Amino acid sequence: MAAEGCVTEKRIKRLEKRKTEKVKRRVVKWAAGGVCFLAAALVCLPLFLIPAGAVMDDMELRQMLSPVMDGSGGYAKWHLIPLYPTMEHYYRLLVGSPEFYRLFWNTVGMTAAVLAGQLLVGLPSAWAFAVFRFRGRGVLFGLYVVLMLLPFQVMLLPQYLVLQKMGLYGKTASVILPAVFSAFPVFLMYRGFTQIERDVLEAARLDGAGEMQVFLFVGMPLGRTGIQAAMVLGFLEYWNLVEQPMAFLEEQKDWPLSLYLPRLTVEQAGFAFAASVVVLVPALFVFALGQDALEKGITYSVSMVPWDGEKG
Amino acid sequence: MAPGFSGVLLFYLLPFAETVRRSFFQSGSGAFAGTANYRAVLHNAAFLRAVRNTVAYAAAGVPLLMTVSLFLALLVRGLAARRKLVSALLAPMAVPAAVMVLVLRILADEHGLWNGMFAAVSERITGLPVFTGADYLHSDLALAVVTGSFLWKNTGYMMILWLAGLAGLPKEVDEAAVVDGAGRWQRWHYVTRPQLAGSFFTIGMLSVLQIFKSYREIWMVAGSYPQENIYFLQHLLQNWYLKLEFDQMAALTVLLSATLLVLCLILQKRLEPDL
Repeated sequence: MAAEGCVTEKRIKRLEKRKTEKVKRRVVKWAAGGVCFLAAALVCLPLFLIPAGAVMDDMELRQMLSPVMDGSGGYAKWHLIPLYPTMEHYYRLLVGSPEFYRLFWNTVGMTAAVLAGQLLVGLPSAWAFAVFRFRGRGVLFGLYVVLMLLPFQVMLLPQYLVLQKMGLYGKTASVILPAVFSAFPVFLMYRGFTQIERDVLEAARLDGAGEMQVFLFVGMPLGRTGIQAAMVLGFLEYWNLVEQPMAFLEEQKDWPLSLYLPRLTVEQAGFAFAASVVVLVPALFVFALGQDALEKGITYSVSMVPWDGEKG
Repeated sequence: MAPGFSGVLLFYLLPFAETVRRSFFQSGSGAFAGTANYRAVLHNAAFLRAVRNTVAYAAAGVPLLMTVSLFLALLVRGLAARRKLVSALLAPMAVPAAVMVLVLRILADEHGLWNGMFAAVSERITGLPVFTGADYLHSDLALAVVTGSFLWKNTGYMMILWLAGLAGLPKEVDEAAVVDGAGRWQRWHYVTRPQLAGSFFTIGMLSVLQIFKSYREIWMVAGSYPQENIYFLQHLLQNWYLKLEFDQMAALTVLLSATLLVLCLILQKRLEPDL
């Protein structure tokens, strides 16, 4: 009898322990969620200033931001919700400022040209790295990786020298051409292609497909994640181009928007916010659509060694 | 392959070789200069300042970025809202730097929103708005702001890398530790952390290289001649470029790329045995 009581007591204790454990785990989970949510909010909060500011009228903006504008006493304030929403800044931007259009289309043109060029040039290179075993492959690949990791400033003088010599300095091509041959998209597309089983390619060849057909009808569809990753990351990069146009383009009419926006002052806050929204929306759109590819692309960048079917 | 590589040759390799050659010559007279350009760089006050600042920036930014992103990756791992949180933390990658310039100006100004918030909080607590406020980008706090913006931009990216590293670990070992009665902290310290050694190395190296790539935001916010604590090697290169000081610039380009090359090679070497 006594022994039995002891056993049930033990069982109760064990159950209680399990219960507290469960509660503990739930608390930890909630705390983790709270911290993550807080971090996410902290990261995204500044972004909400932009669309709100774009629909506030000048009076309201001046009233909130005058301490920043003229250094007068007190601190700037911010209304999370505009008091008197207005579309005047968008109107002025989209109807009343032709220079904005010009720069906007400069940005669009540069981004499109670079991405198209990278596809055209990078795809075959990436395919060659992934599929063929040629002499010097390892060394060449190492070279691409190094190029991809170097910051632009290291290439500033070298590229200036070559662009000057080719007579491209000051032309839009001076921004586009070097970017077309950049190593990063090749690397991403290569990583996408290496995800394809070699047997699949072999099977296609046995079925009588030529190398071109293997590339077009097997490689491209199966390796599309790498291509998407290259395009998404490329878009975000070239939509946001700063250093290259600043260094190689002299005339303001050739600039992309990313060089023009920072010139707007706090006094023109409403207009600047509206312009920011127009720049931000396509980038966020691409980000939202391509997030999976983007994440894949980021993880690809960890493994920077040429991959061998046999070893891997 | 061939057209791609000829472009790389034309726009990257050959001009780089030319830059290496130039670093040993005087551009005006074309005379051989030996190591004169290099010596000029190494004794340049702005260069020394920039090196010190870059080291300080990396010393602050890299460990912080790694810790914060790893911490968030560990927390976010088991959550149901994981995908949404990851998207939110990645979003800064999509935000063009130009867009953030104005926002940061409003936040970090001496009379800006940050100081306003601090003042309001201190007034609530002590009854006095004691925080007189600093002009963040033009004071010694500039480096802190730059480091913060580095974190803002890169945490999501590094978090993805940590998550990939964590996902690659065998589940069995961790489960065995749970069965053996190991606590949360013990499991992290004795099981997960040692297994992540490879990720630590890779992510550390990528973070260092990212420090060098994070010039764009800094330049946009603070211009070509920022507060002296955030004058980095990239500013120096950029300013020498505008002043057409190509001799020193060539030497500095070679020095910087040699340093980064060593980092890249170590990174590659380390990764090789894994595959």
